[in-house]
Amino acid sequence: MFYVGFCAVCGEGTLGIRMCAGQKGERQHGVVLCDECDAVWTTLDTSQAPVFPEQPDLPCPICSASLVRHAAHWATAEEIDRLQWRHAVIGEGWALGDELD
Amino acid sequence: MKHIKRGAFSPNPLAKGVLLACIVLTGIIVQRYRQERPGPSAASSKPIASKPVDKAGAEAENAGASTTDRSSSVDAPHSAPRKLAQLGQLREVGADVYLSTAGLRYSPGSREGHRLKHVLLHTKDQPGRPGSHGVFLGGRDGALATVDAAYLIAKQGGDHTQVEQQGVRTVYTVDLGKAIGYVGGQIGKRREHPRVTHVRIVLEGTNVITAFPVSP
Ligand SMILES: [Zn+2]
Repeated sequence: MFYVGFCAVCGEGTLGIRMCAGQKGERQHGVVLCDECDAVWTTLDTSQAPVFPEQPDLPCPICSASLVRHAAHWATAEEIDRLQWRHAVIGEGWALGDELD
Repeated sequence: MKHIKRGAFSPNPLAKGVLLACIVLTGIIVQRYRQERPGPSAASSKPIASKPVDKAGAEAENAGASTTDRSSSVDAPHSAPRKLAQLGQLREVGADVYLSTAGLRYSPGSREGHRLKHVLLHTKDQPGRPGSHGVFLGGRDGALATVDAAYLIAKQGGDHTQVEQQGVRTVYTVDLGKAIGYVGGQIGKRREHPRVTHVRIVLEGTNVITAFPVSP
């Protein structure tokens, strides 16, 4: 998981770039998702108040497709380039739980 | 029928008695939790419901057990406090929804599929996780009992609890007055896994989003 910071809401989560699977190709969008508390930002400005998507499906604030089901996934380097978010990435590491899989 | 007129703010004596009993009982439970010393086994605090473990937390429970074994050699004792049978037990109150002894709800959600499974990820260290990863002592039973105890203290308010409201969410940071976990993850590894006495609980109403040991 490529991440852009740590979560100010829960104080522990890593803020990863998550690809929403509601749309495909060039129109596919990314969000910033806390791997601990599921807080979501639709831009890289995580100093703004986040959205707390409804459990359990975590609908994307942009298109309402689930951020946890189907083809939603942590963004690859290529996808981050397409989003033009590479400059915000501060590292790559395991998201919560993924290290145990 | 005899009619007794009461003042607008005069509570019913029965309700007053029940309220007083609840306050005293909560105080006793919290006090007992704080006074307990870490013991060698958490086997006596099995949950009422086995279903939550089977459906949502089996993997994490196993992970918790192995953590206890592993970590005991690192920074003993890593066990749940004894005599906490009342706290951290779960009963199913809806479709895959579980209510804890203290009144916290664990429901489907998160990338893991269930908030219970999500919380139980904090029973084992994840040394590759960026930043901190709080790890509960005592595996599954220790984690759920600790979260329940922290919630009871949080509801009482006072100096041991910090509260932050973030939209629909309430974030409690509670000092339990004794070591209840340690800091793992990449930061914990660098700091040699310091013990911590605080728990952070993120709630929406009484629905648990997450909970983990934290260094305040
Ligand atoms: Zn968070």
